[in-house]
Amino acid sequence: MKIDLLKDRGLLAKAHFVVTKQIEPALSEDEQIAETLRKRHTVVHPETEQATEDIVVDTPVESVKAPENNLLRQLVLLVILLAVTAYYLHDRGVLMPYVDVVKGYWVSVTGSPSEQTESMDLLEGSESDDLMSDDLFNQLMPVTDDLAALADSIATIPPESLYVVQELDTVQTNTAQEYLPVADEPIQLSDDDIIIINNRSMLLMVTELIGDIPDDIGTAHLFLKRDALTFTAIQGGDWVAAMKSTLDKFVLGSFDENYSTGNARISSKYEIIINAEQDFQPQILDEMRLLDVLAHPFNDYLQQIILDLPRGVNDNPAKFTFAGNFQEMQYVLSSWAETRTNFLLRSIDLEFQKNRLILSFDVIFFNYIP
Amino acid sequence: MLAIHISQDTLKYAQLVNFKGTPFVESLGKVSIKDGLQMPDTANAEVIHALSEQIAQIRNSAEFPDNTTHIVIDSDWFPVIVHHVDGVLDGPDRDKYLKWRITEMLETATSQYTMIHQELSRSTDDGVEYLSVGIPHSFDSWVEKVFKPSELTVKQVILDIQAIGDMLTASGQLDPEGGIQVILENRENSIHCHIYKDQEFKGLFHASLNWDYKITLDHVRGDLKLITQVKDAVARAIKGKKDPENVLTNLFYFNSSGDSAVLNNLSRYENSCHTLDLVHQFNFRDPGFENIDEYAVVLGALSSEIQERFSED
Repeated sequence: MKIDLLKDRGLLAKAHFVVTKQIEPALSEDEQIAETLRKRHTVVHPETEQATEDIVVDTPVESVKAPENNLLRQLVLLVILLAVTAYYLHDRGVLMPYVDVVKGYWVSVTGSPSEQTESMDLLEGSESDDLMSDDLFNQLMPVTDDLAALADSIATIPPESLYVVQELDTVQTNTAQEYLPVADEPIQLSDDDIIIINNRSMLLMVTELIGDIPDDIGTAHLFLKRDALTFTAIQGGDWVAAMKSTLDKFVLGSFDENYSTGNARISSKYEIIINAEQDFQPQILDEMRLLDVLAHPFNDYLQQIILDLPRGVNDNPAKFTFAGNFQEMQYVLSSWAETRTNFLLRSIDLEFQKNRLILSFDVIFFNYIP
Repeated sequence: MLAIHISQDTLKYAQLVNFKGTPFVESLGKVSIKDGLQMPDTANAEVIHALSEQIAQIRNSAEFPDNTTHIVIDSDWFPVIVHHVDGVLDGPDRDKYLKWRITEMLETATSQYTMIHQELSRSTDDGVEYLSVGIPHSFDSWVEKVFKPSELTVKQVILDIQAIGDMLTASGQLDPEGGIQVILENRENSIHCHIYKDQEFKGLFHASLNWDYKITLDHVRGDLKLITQVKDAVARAIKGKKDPENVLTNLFYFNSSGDSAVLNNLSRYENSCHTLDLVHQFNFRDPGFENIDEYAVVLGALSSEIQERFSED
């Protein structure tokens, strides 16, 4: 289209939008000087230099030589490194235990002792199952009267008693374990990270607790905070044991059952077991995005949100209420758990009304500090 | 050469200079319009005076003040309609039909407007598609009153629809394959989207953006079916939801007066969704100028000037 609002009137024929050639950004003189200076001052990396040479040089011989030289250099360095490591371990007196560890690992992987191990076993006459040939045995150990008597007495001993030397094996194993390297680095977590991780544990725990409660529980109420929970129902049942088992997976603390009032009342005071994931990465959002993540996908179940939007995520308390059946509320809870976002879950309130659940979250949006 | 975009709440401008035979955008800027403009309030002397003062300031603030300007006006200031005309209608019948359509739209106010009907596309099956714009009779004198005090000669006045199309063409981003392209401007609690398809304008919509990114259409021009399709696609993109049936070839976005957080998901969305990246499409005296894409409309208006003066070089 092409209309000049001042000049055009009436019916206009088809007109294309302006068609220009692609404009190549041209540099001003000052910019050209600056660009030249920048190029001159740019550090040239050896790899870049090599790459440039590879392109410029006509004969490919030189460009092939370079990787070979690198490989040879790396091989020499590796041999030196291994020699230094072996010397150091030998000097510290820990070389042989490491050799044992490697030997044990080799046996466990291949399922059979290595050739070297076999020959050592043969010479030392140790635990190898393969029997030495009679000729060799007689050469190494000529049979005397004493030895013959000893052999007879051994033959009379029950076979089980010959395996008492297991202790020796255990000691060896323990010695080997002592030298096993511990590689895992501890995960660095801030207080805010722990809040988010514990949110997740609480949410997953409640998701599983709902699964423990039978559909016909009737009217019941679960309220939990970060350090305690209470659950009241009309009567107890098998679900109490299931509930305890679930709690044991997520928290450390007490578990009390009380039926004195005629109803079942379960209470627990606990500390949440920090279940930090190796690659834990929180998702930090502003208040609008938090709402988008925490409320929007569950519009069908959302009953109410109380939030002071202008306060943003600066310690802004918020309340969310959802309602639906057991599976729907489990979906909400587990989805919240997967968000790993910057809110502090202060409490969860669950009202069981026949097959319907009313789920309320009391949270605080906070500014995350890594 | 200046280009000034007059919208309801801001004046945006850009100055084009010839620097040794190369077109350079010398300056960019924007000023707020106090209390906003309500078009077609062309008789309000106070508004005319305030506008003319601001435009004079823009002109005089330049190191080398210009004498000529292009003007861009938002299409929602005028009665605008995109409509089909049956291919069998021609000559007087077509004119009669167009007049009837406008009368239907404007009811009794037709006498206050002069009509422009721009052919957008033509096909044997669908007939001809027209964009019809009603220009108030008082518009010419309004332009003169606003620009005369600043001694600026108005070279042409175009709609934002055309400026954006020109910008896409000039920057080589108008899809030659004819896919659906959307330019989304994020304003305060609202978005404005222009839709282009088959290298031509197809429609536009202004929509309110709720706290949960729910989009409510406020102002629509063009094919409603297409616009609804685009609105749904844009809504999914803003929420960051993957769309296996995505109909958009491109979703270009930029922020003007809105919350930039709205665009967070767009920056991580599919490859078809990206900024206009105008900093690399034009020559700028100061390429570090913040949020250059916001000036897409004025840069589009300058594109025709660049075409006219520099294309032979």
